[in-house]
Amino acid sequence: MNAREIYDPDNRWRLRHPAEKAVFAGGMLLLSVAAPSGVVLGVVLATVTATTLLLAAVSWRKFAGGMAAPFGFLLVGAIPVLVASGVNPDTQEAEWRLDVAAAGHLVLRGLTATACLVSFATTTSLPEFLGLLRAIRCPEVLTEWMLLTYRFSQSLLLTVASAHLAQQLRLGLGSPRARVRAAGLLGANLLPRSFEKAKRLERGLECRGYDGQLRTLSPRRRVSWPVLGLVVAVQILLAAWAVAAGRGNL
Amino acid sequence: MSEPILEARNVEYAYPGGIVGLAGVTLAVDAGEKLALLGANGCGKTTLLLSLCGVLKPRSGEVRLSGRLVEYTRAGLRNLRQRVGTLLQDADDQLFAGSIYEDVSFGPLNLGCTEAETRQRVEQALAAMELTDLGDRPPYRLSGGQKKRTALAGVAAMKPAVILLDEPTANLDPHASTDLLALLDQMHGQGTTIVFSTHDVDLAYAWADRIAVLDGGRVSACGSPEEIFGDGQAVRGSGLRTPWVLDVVNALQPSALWPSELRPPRTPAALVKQLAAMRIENVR
Repeated sequence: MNAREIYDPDNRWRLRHPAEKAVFAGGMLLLSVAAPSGVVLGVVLATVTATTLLLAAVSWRKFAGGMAAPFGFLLVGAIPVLVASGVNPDTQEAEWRLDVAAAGHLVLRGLTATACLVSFATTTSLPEFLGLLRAIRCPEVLTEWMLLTYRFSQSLLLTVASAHLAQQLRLGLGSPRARVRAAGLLGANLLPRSFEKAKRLERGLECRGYDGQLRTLSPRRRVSWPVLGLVVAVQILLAAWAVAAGRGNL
Repeated sequence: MSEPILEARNVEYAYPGGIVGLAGVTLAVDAGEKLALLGANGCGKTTLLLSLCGVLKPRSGEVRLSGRLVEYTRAGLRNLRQRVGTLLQDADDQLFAGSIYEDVSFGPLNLGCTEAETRQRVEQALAAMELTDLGDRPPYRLSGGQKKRTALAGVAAMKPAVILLDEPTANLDPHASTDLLALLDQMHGQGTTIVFSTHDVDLAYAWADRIAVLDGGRVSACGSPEEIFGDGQAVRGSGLRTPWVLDVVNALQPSALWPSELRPPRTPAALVKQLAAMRIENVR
């Protein structure tokens, strides 16, 4: 039984240096935030999606799963832009209008930015990301806190899954009333069980010389400068196009 | 006679609420041996192992490492853990990092190894446990057997002189158990002393050089597997049974199918070999 996470462990970029993936996703994210034209946004979205699905071979289910919830929020958030209402200062009458272009542009921009983040999340595991943060001298307390949160969230999800299964096997979810009771019991027991788990983990780490600091080393990976150069070159071209398109609009 | 590498003298431990974990355990572990702590559930096996590795501080009595009293100070415990590695029953209690490689590097870094030495140790340990290709995997994505091997790699990378294993084959399928025991045999062959707790009498009888039977927080008997199971006295009343290999031999003896002067084998393979040899003898 595995806890859910967005990272696809079978992606083709799993052995690439995380800096390459960060430059790709980060550069594209900057473009998606700054590009003035919808066409440029569309090209960035297509590039990120195609690269992630075809070159990195991320499972489309993982990618779509990562995009689904943010897309839902984007749609809900675009409604106030789509339907603009107010009082006409000349006639002093209430009026409303549909601004499909503005709402569409907002959704496209949000979708493109989300695709960049999902691309990074599906191709980069948390340990790699933490290694990157350590390399750029992120405070250790933050990286350790992130690591433990990650470890405990996985462990907590597994505990929830096994407790849920145990309830299901004893007909604990047979009726709405039973479901509410089961959820209450699960919630009430989760904290003591997590505490117990934390205590056992601390004991396990103590056996391995834990002294309050979680020191670890990541596998060595080399940055591929040709790949990094290609990524940056593509991004510069897209940025130049975006600037030209922006001037054309003006 | 050489000094024991690890020793418990009159160790007593009680859990909160007055529950007795150990009630005066005295036990010496000799360098290079495979010692089994055998006993039913709740007899104090895990408590003894945790006391031997310094996680639990005895209420009274003492733990000695190579004859020197273990000090429960930072430096004392560091010295103890440098020489005594521990594998807990549930590997999940020992694995915390995001990837196997990172997890295995944790112990050597705690010992103060340099980055180069740590990498060398990690790579050696992963290769020995046949985990090199899984180095990037997060531990929670592994099977039970792989988790156990990862936890053992984490211990092996610290290069301890003694390894304490709490129910090493618990929750493992027969194939994974055999693999794990082969890895432990390999470490033992390189000079590592092994102390393991188990309630599996067949495993203790077949694999250990010496067995200490625990009952009610005390060592009730200690000796070679043949001595412990010879007449069944040592395990009677402690919730244990005799190994099935011995049961077969004991069933054959009354009908003279197994000569009483013949030493009973310790493994199923040895039993089959012996029976085949006896059959050939009878045919002749």
